[in-house]
Amino acid sequence: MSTTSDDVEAPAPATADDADGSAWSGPSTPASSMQRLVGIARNLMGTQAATAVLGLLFWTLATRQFLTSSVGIAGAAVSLMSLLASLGTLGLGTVLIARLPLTPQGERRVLVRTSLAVAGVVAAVLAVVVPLVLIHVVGAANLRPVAGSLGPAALFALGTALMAAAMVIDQAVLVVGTGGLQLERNIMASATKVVVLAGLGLLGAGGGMTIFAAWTVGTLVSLPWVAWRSRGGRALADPGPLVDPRALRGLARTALSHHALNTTLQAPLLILPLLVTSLVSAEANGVFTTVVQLTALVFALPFAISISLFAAADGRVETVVANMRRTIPFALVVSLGAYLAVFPLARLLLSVFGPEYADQGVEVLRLLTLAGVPFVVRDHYVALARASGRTTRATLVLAGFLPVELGAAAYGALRGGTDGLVLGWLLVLAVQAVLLAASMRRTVKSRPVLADTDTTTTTASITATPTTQEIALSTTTTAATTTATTTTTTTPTAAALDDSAPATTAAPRTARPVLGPVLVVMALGLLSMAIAARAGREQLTGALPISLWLAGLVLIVVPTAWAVLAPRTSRRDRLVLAVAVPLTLQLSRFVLHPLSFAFHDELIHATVLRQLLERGALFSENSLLPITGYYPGMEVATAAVTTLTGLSQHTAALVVLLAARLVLSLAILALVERITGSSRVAAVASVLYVLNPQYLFFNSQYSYQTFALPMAVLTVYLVLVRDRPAAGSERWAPVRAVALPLAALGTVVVSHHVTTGLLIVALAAWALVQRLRDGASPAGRREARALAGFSAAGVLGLAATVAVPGNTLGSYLGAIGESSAQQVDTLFGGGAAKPLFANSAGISSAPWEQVMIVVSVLVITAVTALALLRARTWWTRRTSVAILLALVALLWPLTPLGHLTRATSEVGDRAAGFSFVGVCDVVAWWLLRRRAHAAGPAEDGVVELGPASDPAAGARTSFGMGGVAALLTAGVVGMVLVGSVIFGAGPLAGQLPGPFRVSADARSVDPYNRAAAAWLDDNVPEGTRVYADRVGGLLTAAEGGTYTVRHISTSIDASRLLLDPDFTDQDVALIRRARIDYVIADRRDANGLPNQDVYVENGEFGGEERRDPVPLAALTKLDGVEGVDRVYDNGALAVYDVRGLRGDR
Amino acid sequence: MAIADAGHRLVPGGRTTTRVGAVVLAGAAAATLADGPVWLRTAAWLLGALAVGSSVAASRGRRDARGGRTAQGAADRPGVDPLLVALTVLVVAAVASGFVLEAAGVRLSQGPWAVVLAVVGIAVLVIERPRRSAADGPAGAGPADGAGPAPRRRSPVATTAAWSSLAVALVVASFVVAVDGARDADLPPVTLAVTDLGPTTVDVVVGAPGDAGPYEVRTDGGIDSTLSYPPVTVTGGEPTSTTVLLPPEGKVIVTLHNLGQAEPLRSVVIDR
Repeated sequence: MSTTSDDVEAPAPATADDADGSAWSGPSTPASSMQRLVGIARNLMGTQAATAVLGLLFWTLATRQFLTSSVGIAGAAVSLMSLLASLGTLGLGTVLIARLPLTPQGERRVLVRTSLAVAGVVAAVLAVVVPLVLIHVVGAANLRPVAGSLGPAALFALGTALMAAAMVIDQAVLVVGTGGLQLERNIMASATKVVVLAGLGLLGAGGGMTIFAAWTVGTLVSLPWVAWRSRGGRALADPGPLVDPRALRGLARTALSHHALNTTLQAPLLILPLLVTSLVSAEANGVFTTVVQLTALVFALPFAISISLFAAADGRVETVVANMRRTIPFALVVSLGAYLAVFPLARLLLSVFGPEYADQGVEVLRLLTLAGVPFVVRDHYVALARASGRTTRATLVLAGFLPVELGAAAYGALRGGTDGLVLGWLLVLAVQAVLLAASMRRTVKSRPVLADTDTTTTTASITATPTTQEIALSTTTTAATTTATTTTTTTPTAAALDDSAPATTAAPRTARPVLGPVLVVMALGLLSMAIAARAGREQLTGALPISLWLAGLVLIVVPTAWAVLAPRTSRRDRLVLAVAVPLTLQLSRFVLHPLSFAFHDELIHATVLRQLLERGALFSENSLLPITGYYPGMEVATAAVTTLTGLSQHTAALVVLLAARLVLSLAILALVERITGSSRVAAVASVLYVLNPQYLFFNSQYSYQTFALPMAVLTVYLVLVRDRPAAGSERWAPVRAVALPLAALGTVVVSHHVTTGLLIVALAAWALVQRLRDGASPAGRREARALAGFSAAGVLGLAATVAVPGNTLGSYLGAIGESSAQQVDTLFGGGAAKPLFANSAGISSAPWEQVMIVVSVLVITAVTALALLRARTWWTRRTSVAILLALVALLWPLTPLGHLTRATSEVGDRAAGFSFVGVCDVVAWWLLRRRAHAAGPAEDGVVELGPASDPAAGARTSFGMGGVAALLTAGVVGMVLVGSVIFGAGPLAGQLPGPFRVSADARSVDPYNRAAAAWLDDNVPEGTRVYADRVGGLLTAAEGGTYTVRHISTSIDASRLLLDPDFTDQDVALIRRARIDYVIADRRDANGLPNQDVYVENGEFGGEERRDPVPLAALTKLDGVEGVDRVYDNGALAVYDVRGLRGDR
Repeated sequence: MAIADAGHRLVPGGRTTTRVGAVVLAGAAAATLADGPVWLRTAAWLLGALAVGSSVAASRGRRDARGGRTAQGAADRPGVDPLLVALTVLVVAAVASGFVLEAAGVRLSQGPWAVVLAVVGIAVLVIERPRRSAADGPAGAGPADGAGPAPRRRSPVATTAAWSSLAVALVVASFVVAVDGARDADLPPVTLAVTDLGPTTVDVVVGAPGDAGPYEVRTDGGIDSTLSYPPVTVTGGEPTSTTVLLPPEGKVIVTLHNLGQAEPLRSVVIDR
């Protein structure tokens, strides 16, 4: 087992708070203040994003499980609770940010607990009094369910008190490390409330306050979590009183000052909706409020930076000033970027809420997003004011602007409705920004600017000052960081964010524990996808299902991509996450179609499985695709599971597919780690592999390639790491050395023909590379011979399968090759290419989806090309298998180019699963490679890879990527993922269950055609010959046990039976020749063109020149034929007994 | 090396694990042969697979740790290798057993399959069991022979367990949402079908989800021009059958109506 230097296998911290520092002891790692700032801002944004997404999930779940009136009551209760809790905090959270670093170590816990208690009590009092006043004085009878009786009132008071405490603690934890604890708490709270809500819903609980109770439980669980995570070790044991009001002595004025400033900052966005309601209309306010909520994500960044500036400064104005030089330009660029992103996407974003929102809110959203720019200036001004103790002055200045802002907004509303209101407000904000910027400039000029120094410098200077000795930031929890604190003195870290700096100069850093939170976020992603699938089934219109589906995908992949790339993630966490992502994505198929197989290839293989189980023998004839019966490896494994355990076939298939996914992930991990010597590169490669366009659907369906591909990668790995027994080894050592690789190879051979062929070619190519590179040495020649031997074994195995009587491999592959060659020839001869963004029914991807596809393909192609270019030196430096993978990566262009014709698109899509094994390896290496800073072999400065390196040369494997780069790369991964999924599986709307579509695989599998298949299963003998359209034929074979007549299995094209409106002698002849017993007609086929090219199969009647849907007369013509019985009718499908035409009845 | 470590930890008892694993596999085979409940068979085979897998993983780890027995290869195997090899053995065993049974001319049914896989599993357990040797010290005493006790590290087990539990709860919630949604949407349509076709009568079956009806069955073109039969209802989704009279020859159309409505919901045609 190898150990590599780049993998942070940090000693576990003494306490659970590890990377975030111990309990209220301040940062434990020697990060610079800028690093802390970035970390805090990142976590604040993460919190914002997580709570937004999880909030959406929560409310979506609520609307699914509870009555609308209950959701309305809960919404009102939560809104009122948020307002009262915010008032109840009294600014104590902000005070704690400023005060905690200056508070003696032993008194911090008491200060925090007292602040929480005060905020909780004040909020509880408000929660009791305000609703009573509103109900009994103001006459707000609608609030009676919230606080009209003792039980709900007590619950509401408790929830509000807890929320106030949570708000305070969220700010207080920002002084601990980089605020990761705040993110954790919010994820914990949000996830818990989702689970509790789901549980309460399942238990049949009802009422709005039940929803509120779920919310409260989430908050309740998260608070002890923070206490536990920040508990500190024995050294920080706290024998003092739980709460001591004296701890807040002298803080009241400061707290109220911060509170006033906070309220002033929030005021405009709270008052503007009232203006819209009163000056425009309540309907317009509905749209405006929604837009404000959407823009909250854009405004969150400057706000997060503002708070982070304040929290990371530890009360030092100079630090704020120094950091502002970088944060202002950064925040401005991001705000402008957000504006540029929102401008084209405004309609899509708003369509989530309904078409009327999209129609009325587009311009408002675009205008309001512009406010992000002046907010950058304003929030920096506020941060500077807080740090310099000028909160009162800032409050007065901003409060002075407030009436001007509102006046301009009101004038604008009167002149131009909501658009005018926003425009008027924006103009004042712009003026305000200019004036505040000038004020800040004066302040900055009056202050000496410090070079950004790392925390240890700060520590040194602070501890040297008698008045602040108690700060003792150097009292960290681990010996390692304490050492770092004392030894790393005043090294300037102007390039602190440049993590490419040599590791030798960096201080040891503890690992960031990300596994748990990321797993929870991943699980929430799965839940989001499940809700999306359910919404699709319920035929919910609008963008909500697609948005949830998309959000789920992003939640599963992007946080993991970041965690795996980030430098401070431990090796264990990386490996677990790199395996968890593929498994979760595999589970996403289950939540999409949890009860049965639904896709074309799945139904073909479900037929093989059914035949195997019913006949207890292999190699049965599968009329849907005869070749599948001769490669039943996957079905055998599934049959073993279902036979032994009694699980259903579908569940057993899920087990097998999960096992295959696990094998693939582990094989990629092991292979890449073996090649590069870095588990970090390996984990990144495993995550990058999910960007394969076919990963989410084609490569995860119940199909032989899904099973064989992992086994093929595994075979390559096992061949690579097999034992090479030395001369004189024990007798059976050579046999044992090859047994496992041969067993894996054998599994590939009996599972999938094309994968076997490609594996044979890969092994042969590997042998050739080995011979060319190391042919001079006897060991090299021996290895080349061994590799050629494995390839030859594959050839023998494949030949053995072809020798099984009835195997049609030659004709099957020949037909595909012929068809592909013909279409490519047509294309080069000037024929029309396949429409790139539309299917055969004319359904196109949305414009934004087309953009995402192009971006995704371009990014993958460009990055792969750059990586391969950089990897050209591998020829002389790497092991042969690394070169083999680089060669495999060269196959990637086949996938996008294949989409130029229909026949080659299928071939190209199948190639993606293979080429991406190489792509992910080369790109992961390229992303994380680091220029040599040790005595590595130079030229391009890339250090030698893994085990192939020569320790004697002093080469050292080293890979790296900084935290910010990791974050940005994860963002790009998310973007590519979305485009890739659309590229591979078509428009997002079509990926979800929904209304029936004609000949559209899973979208055509519905209760109607499944009911027909079930009827045949119950009423006709196994093997009865049936003719049906594409999906009907698949279902009746897989679920009905019939022999579906197809050209590929009978060489008879009987499609005119369903597609020709006239009944002729040819129909009778076909029925007799193909010995058809029953014909199934789906009358819905007349409603549109087929989405998957054909109604029945390639070459069908009228297929070439089809422009219009099949006539209904063709699907009902058997009604009037003498001797034909219509024996089944379910409204959509009819089953005709045509045996009378054969004289068999 | 976390995953590899996990592989090692799966064999805490060495020989005891071998014996327990063998008993579990035998029990799983017995439960399958006796057609025991699904949960019992699933749990038993899962435990058996874990025992075999962990035994293989631990054995691979021990061999790699000894290293000197091989000239090349074992060194520098990644940490996930033992887990991967264990998984390989399980998958290969499942697939190979089917082909072996086929080659032996034995039907692939639960009896033979259970026996073959249990025997193979027990054989693997025996072959891969830890053996005492002077160099190894007590069997199953440590993760790597001669490596000595690993330095004890504190790990945030409780934290990870809490997060993982929450994640599992969310995954379960996802499944519940998905399955419920699919079941709700998977309501079978109203159907009319011919089942038992006799010389003078035919049974037509009316199917519908849940409780449905009353429906009216009529025939057209039969003995009289139109004939109506007593109303039928569907209870609890159970199909309801009605016997309809047929003429000796000619075409009869049997239609299903909502009670009192002229427009048929469904129809079948019998042409004799």
